Amino acid sequence: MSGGAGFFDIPSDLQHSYAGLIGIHMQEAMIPVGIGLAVALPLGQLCVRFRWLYPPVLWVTTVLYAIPSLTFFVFLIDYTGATRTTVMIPLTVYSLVVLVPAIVDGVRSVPQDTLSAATAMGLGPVQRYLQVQLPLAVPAIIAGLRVATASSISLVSVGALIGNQGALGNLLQDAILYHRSNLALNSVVTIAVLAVLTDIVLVLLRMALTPWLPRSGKAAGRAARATAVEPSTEAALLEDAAS
Amino acid sequence: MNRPFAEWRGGPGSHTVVAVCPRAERTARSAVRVTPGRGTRRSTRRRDGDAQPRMEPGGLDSPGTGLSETDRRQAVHARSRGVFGTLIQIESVTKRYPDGTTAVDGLSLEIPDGSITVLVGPSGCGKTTTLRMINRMVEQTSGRILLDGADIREQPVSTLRRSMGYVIQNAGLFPHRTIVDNIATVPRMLGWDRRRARERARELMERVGLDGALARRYPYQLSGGQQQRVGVARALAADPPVLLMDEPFSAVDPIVRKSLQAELLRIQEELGKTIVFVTHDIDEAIRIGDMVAVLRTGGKLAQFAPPDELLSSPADAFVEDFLGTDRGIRRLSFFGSDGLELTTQPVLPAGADAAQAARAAASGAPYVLLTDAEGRPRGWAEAKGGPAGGEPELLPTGRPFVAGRESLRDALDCAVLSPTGWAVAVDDQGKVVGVVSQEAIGAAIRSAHAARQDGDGAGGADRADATRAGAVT
Ligand SMILES: Nc1ncnc2c1ncn2[C@@H]1O[C@H](COP(=O)(O)OP(=O)(O)OP(=O)(O)O)[C@@H](O)[C@H]1O
Ligand SMILES: [Mg+2]
Repeated sequence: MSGGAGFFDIPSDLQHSYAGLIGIHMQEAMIPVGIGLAVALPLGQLCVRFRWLYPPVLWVTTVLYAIPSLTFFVFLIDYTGATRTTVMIPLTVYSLVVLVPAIVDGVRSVPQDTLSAATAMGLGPVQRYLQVQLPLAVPAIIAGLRVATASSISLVSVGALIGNQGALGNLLQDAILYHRSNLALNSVVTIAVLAVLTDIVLVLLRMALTPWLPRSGKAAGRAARATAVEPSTEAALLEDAAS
Repeated sequence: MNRPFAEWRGGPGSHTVVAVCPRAERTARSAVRVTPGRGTRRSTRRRDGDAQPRMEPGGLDSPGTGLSETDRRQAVHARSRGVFGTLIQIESVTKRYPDGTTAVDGLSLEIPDGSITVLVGPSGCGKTTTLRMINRMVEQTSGRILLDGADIREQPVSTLRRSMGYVIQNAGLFPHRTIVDNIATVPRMLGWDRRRARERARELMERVGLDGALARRYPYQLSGGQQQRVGVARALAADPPVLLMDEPFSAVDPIVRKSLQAELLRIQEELGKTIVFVTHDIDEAIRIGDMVAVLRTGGKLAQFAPPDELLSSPADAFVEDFLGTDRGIRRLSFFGSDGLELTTQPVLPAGADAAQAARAAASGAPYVLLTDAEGRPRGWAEAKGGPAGGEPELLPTGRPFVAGRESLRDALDCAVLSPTGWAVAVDDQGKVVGVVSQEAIGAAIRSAHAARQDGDGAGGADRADATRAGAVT
């Protein structure tokens, strides 16, 4: 516990190695995004199908987003205890506020001509959704995912408030506790690097899934940015680097 | 660009469904085409222009075609014609949208089999609505639509739609699929394996005049005109008997539009589909339509007639107004130029001797036409000066017309544009076959009109072998 401990020496009270913390951090960040996507896809489709549903859904997700995570924790801790689940539930809710509009806008942006053509070729609503609308919404959905993952990765840290459930965020508390500023630096840098790497993976995924987008990527990037509800510095920086 | 040339039977009132098959070649080619199902039946209905026309009971006697005995006789007499039955019957169909708009009002139309029927009218007159009722993308409020005698509501909507290719403005391609996969969409849905569907797609690319190298591209990598061709290929992919086209060419520039129209006519010659084509462009309607339905605002039918008849006898002031001011001139497209009396007297071939030159100069024409070694027109020289005295000053000949293949309108146009008032007629190779004066063309127009008015178009039809085939090249 001396001040001379190395950058990657993790205090034993966290019960994990550096790599272990990274694993937990990513797990706590990505599972909510995954669940969020699984909820947002059908919810988004419902909002497209029934136009009247979209404003209330948007309103509810936005209101939930405005609730600080600490409030969530206080409320949830009675049910799910001081566990990772308690951290992941608000993160899931937060991801919805980005993903639902991304999906709705993405699906709605499919040109009417394209849809008419699909209908005229005898595609039913389900085929049309799976074969036309969803693939064409991929750029918008991935743009939403980039924002959602970046914010999720940084928000996991607040889990430290409910007893070391913040993965890399816990290092911040330990930095204060043990007067080791290098732990704080480690936490911030590692989280930032994780966010950037995840973002790169998502950009690569988008490129792999959308060989049909004009190569310049300018238009796609603009559309993606317009879809994103929350500005994300890392994501935006990376977008420019990548495209 | 050459004018299409369709020769339709019957004067006003006998419009219905008897059509001169615009081109002998079309029939010859369609006859060898073997396609399964309805395609075969339909294509055998076309006949060779020079063969003795056969009566097709199903075609002529089907109820509602309203053919008189005279029509029938004329149909038999006329040369080079096909007889079509009715494939799609629209029976007093009305469409009222939920907001109260009456888009189509009591519309009845009989859309003939194996030919192009154009719906034309001002914006908002219900053309798209009518078209979409045929494939049930819009359900009519009242009335019925029959396909081959059966109500279209009797079959599953997806089956119905797959039997009808649909082409729209801006093509509506799937941006996320390559060109082959776009075209292969319906065959794939019909359960063809990927290889066969793609093979078919490549075949169609060729048919619509697309370079095979484009196959693996995505739509954004194609020009508007190319995309539109893909749209047509995609609609044809499963060989549907019916094609519905909603202003397919209105988003491309006029030159590309003309070539797409020509391409469509060429494809139609080969395939003989039943095409319902929507446009707001009356020129396009006249150019490509075998039958033209003019709709007026409020979704009412103003006139349903072959283009020739539309031009010669518009039903009312609305149609007349819609046709524009120069319908007399435009109607000339329907008269062949092979009845023109060409003269070769004022034509002076390359390397002609003085005697020939003197004869040409003495022919009475104020100018003589000099040709080059290949027989192509070089220019006009004044007859008086005599071309023998060195190289005379030549007036440009302008664009010549192809004798026989192009219409009287083309001939007249050449004559009007010519500095000498004489039009130059050439053959397919561009060799001069004669010249003709504005006066002679005027006389030919008068006699063509007279022939039409007699109700005996047979002579005109004989001469008018100028066909769409020619117009397309
Ligand atoms: N879904 C709809 N709901 C209500 N009204 C409609 C709908 N679709 C079309 N209309 C109305 O019905 C009328 C006919 O429309 P339609 O699209 O058939 O016209 P159109 O002849 O194709 O016109 P255009 O040449 O501009 O394409 C118009 O007045 C239009 O406003
Ligand atoms: Mg329309």
